[in-house]
Amino acid sequence: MELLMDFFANTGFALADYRNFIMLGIGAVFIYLGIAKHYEPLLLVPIGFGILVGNIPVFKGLGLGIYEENSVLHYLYFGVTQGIYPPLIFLGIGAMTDFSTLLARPVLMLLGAAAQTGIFLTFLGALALGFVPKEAASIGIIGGADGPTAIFLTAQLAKDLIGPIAVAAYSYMALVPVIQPPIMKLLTTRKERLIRMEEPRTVSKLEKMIFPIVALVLCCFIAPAAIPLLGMLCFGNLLKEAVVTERLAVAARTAIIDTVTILLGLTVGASTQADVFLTPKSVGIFVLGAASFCVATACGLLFAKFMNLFLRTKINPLLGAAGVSAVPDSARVVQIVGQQEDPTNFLLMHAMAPNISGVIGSAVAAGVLWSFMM
Amino acid sequence: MKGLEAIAFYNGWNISATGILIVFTALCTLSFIISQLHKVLMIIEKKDHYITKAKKLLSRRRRTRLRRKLQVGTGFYASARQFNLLIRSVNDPFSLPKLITLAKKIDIARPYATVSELLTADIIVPNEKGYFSWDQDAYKNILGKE
Repeated sequence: MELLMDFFANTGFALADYRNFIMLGIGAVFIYLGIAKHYEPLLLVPIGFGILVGNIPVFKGLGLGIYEENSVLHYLYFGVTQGIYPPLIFLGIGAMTDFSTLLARPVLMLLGAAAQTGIFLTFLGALALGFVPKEAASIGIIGGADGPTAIFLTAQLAKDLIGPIAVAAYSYMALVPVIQPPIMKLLTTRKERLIRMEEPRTVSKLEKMIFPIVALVLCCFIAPAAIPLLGMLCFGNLLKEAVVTERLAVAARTAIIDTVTILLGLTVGASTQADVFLTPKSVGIFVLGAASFCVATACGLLFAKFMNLFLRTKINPLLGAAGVSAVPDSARVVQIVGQQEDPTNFLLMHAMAPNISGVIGSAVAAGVLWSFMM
Repeated sequence: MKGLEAIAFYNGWNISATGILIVFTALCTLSFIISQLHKVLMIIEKKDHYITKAKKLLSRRRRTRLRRKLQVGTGFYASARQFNLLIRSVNDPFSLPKLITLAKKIDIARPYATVSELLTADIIVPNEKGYFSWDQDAYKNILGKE
């Protein structure tokens, strides 16, 4: 009987407290949103399952938990804490991204820059709420709407916050179709939403091949700390455009990115153990993250309207919302909102330009913040 | 520490302003370079066409400049054309006195003045051994369309 009692004392039922159940519920919601609602399923399902894995109460000392040295999860989590997974994801993103629309209409790149303003404004907000600068910078980067970038910067600056920041970043990325449309409608008039974009010019193969090299050299000369992310993004894109390296490009955009996404999602989810996740700080991070995302969207929209004051051929200001780097979700949202006003207006292709420049912009912003905090 | 005091204490205003500036600078510069990239590539692709065009433009300018420099009357063109025919009967390179003597023999008007102007226009070009050559291309460029 004593043996049975000892066994029971080590089971999850005896070790669990209410926080574990809250987290298990959150994990289940993530899985539901991913599978039933199709909100970023490739991210939410691994993260949701990771939350389940990480929040099953275990007896400390058995080497099972993610924060226990020598546990399998701890080794897998090494790729997150050391900032290894995010650059590999950028490699895959580069290998699957077509920069044609950006090359055809480079002026749209400014929208990607404008949306990054949200990062720095949220950084100020986080400082004002009592976070130290390194934590504030990690929270601010959520506004970039780029999960890998947020994880990368947090791994460098505030390892303790990786769990909440990653979950917040990916949650908001998944909720792009819910968060962005009201802001877009609020800040634009119907007439503006009806603006049609000019057909982009044809971009040559040589241009596409030169672009990643120019982008890497230029951006990394300006912000050298962006090398891990931008370097891999541009390398992946060069593999894609060079044609002769098609095999490598295929590996980068399929096997590598899929493997890393599984490992990243699962371990980030598992890192949200109730005792380290359910804290007042996490609540602050979620509130600021949402604010950051909204501000970034608003900055992109308002800057597009500002550009229209000077442009001869007006651009549809909805494109500004795609300046956040949730690729391709925010571009899709632009298309949907645009088509609600005019079903024959196709904005998706045009929205990809600020969307991709947002990826570059958020990587540069992360590099800048990292170098400032060192 | 919280609020504006915390922002000021941690140098938040400067970090944010500089950060925004750097991101804008990077993307604006990249945007500008991309916008010019296809033009540069087009020039490289059609370089032969542009070189020919540039040469034509240069030679037209040179011709105009020389004409302005020569400040010659219509008689010069007739004499130069006669020299062009005369030059076929002498060996190249030729001696300048011999050329002038021949020009006098066939009654070309103002032979000294014309030879001097042809020298100025680099149509008659001296070599290192004291002889002279006739540059047919320069002749065509400067006088061909008169």
